Amino acid sequence: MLQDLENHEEAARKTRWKHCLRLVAAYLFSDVGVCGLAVSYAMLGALVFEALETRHELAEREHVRQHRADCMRDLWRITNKLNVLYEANWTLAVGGRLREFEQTVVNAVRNEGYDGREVEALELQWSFPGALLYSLTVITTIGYGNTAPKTSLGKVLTVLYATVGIPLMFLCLLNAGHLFARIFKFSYFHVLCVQCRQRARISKVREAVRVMLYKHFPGNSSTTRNQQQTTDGNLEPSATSQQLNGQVEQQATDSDRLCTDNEELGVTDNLITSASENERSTAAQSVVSSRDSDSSRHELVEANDVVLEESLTDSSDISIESRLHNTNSSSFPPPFSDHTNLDGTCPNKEDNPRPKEEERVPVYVVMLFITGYIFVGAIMFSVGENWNFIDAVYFCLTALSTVGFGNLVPGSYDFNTQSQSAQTRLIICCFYLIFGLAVVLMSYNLIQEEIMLKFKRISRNLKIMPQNEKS
Amino acid sequence: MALERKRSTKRSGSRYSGKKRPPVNKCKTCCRKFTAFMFSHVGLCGLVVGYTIMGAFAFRALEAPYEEEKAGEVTDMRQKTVRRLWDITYDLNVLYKDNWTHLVAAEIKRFQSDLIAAVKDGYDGKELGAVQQWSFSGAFLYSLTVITTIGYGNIAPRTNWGKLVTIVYAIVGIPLMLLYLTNIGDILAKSFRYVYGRMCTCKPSDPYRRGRNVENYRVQHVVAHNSPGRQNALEPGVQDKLHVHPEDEVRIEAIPNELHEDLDYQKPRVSVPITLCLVIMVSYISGGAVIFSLWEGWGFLDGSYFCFVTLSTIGFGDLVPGDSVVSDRGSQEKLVICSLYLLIGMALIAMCFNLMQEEVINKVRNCGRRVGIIKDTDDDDDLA
Repeated sequence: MLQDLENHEEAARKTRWKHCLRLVAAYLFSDVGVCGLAVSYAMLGALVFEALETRHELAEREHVRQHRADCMRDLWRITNKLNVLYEANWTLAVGGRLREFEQTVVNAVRNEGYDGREVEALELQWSFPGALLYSLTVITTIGYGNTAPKTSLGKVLTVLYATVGIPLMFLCLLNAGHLFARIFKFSYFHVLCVQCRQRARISKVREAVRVMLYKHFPGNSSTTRNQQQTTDGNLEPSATSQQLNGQVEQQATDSDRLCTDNEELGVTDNLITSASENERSTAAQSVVSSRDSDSSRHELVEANDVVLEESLTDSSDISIESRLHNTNSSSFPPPFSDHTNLDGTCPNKEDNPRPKEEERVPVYVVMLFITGYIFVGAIMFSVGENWNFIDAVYFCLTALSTVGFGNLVPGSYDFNTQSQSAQTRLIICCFYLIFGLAVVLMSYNLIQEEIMLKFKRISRNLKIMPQNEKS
Repeated sequence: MALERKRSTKRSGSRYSGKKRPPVNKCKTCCRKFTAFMFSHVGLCGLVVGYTIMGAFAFRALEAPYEEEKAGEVTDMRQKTVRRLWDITYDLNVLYKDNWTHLVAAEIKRFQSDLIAAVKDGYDGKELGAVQQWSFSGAFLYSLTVITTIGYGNIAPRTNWGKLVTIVYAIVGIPLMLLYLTNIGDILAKSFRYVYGRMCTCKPSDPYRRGRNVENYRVQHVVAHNSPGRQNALEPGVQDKLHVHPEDEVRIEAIPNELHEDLDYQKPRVSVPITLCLVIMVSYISGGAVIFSLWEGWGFLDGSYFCFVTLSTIGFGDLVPGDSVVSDRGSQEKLVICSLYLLIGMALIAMCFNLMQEEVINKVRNCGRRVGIIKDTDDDDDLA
């Protein structure tokens, strides 16, 4: 018995461990986890590369100093050897020696990664911020190259590091882009553009109504109009609809009370009963009667749909339009309001039968945002690095498109200014790159549907025209 | 029945109108098919190459004069330094080593700093009049590195106009390149699958296929349980419970209701094993490494490092063929071959990605399911 208990405890502990591990793994591979993983991977790479390459950099500084000393020794020898100094001879010899020195320096800079700092300089290319920037340029495939590994071990590690890091970073940036896209959409639709929200809603109502009309009553629009105009109850609903209009407009701006309102239900009841004077309203009545007292939104939506079908003629009829606007706006809260479930009867975004076109941010807004980001970065770098503005814009664009030439890199050693604050500039550059790439992926996320649609339309246009000729 | 009769008359009507003017119609269809084909496959390839050539001409025109200017400047600088050294030497009547060395050291140091600034500005150490960086092949390689986002940087625009044109060129060229790569990857993947499928029919006892068959046997088994005689047995709900991948659905439909252990899966979809794709990529990189290391005198490590960095579009630019400090004969050909290597390599990588992605996604999904991370419905975090 005791053994059974013990075994049971063992099994329970094991399952608990497994569950823990599973949770940890799930968290690691979730959105946040991947981002955190990528960041720590970059830092780990920075540490490793810093350890590997610092020695070579210091050694290279020493080499260049040695070359310079050799050059001067040779020059002295040339000067000393000739008892009589003829200018032409001496100039030739010295010129030749200088040319050799030039070759070694150019080789040091281009091939050995020498950046011009003297042996005594405290700051290194391969400091931690510098190595962090390097790791980032590897796993984002930007690849500047001004700081590049020169040791064999560094090169091998770079290859391995990139093989794992590039997909990881890509995933992280995708997640970040997705998150940024949601934030952007939210702020755009809730903060920036109140007008277009209302406008969009009205136009979508018209669209939906038109679609439903042609779907259900393709040829009978004229008869319904006649019937509508003969009913006496036409005036009443329109009057109440005006009232409703005012009410709903108010409520539309106050997004808190849009979800459920008993008055709205009552008013829509009136509208439905008034439309029931139409002979095709039996279907609506049956739907309405099947409702229970705290009606689920779905059924109300269906009832309103039926009302829309039957009382619709042509969308140019204003009173009917306003009525539809009322019925629709009372039962269709704006799909992007996150205030749901006041008493559990609000439809979610997914229950809303209208297409999600309203949630697409227009392309020009996204483009403006990207351009703004690039300009802000350009200003920042042109001030911080003393570049001219075109250079800074060029840098930002080549960095964010991951081309990454590497001839202009923030935080690199500049002779003219001999600035010492390279470390902070490198860190700023890292942040700018990460956020910039996330912004690029965010914009791709936001506008890809538009681009795909346009593309399809263009390709369809290319093929449609001959087909029309055929038929 | 009446409907069918109506349909048949319609068809004959169209056929009748078709007989009236066949040649014009045929011409139009031909033209349309041709334009479609051009825009999709061959045309895209030609478009990319043409775009690169156009870019090469433009950049060469913009940057070559500046390069000459720069090379002249360095020569001037050197001569000025020599003159100043002469002045120092001449001024001192008695040459004390320490004095002289002290004065000369300062001059040399200044020369070095100016030289390094010039190198960072694009000077590559070659003599004036020697083969230039911004030759046609150099500019071609440069344009290619821009639109593939490799971005070596050993050759980079120094003039303002060059930078602006680079920006515009990249904005148009990078999507074009991506389009080209997806297209080419598609075609190559299809043809590779076809060839692989044909080759596989010659060897029916492939262990990998047997492994796959076992998996499908399991799925099949469930199908047989559910549908002894019905054709469209599986409802969508049942399919969800089986965690069926869209490809698996195809396989299920293709299976007749008998149980086979060794079915021919070539028709629905041949999936090339991941190892084969990896082998292809690694061998391409190694092949390039061998070639470039032989030419440039790099070691094999440096060569493979260069190939990997190039094909992953990282593109440091510290090692580039045809770009050594001493001007080489044949550097132009090297640049052209490097460009070709680039183009073909990226197409191959696109093909491998295309071939691998299903397998990788499947494996990751299986792995995740086994560990317990992934539940039945993925992407639970897309809800507002």
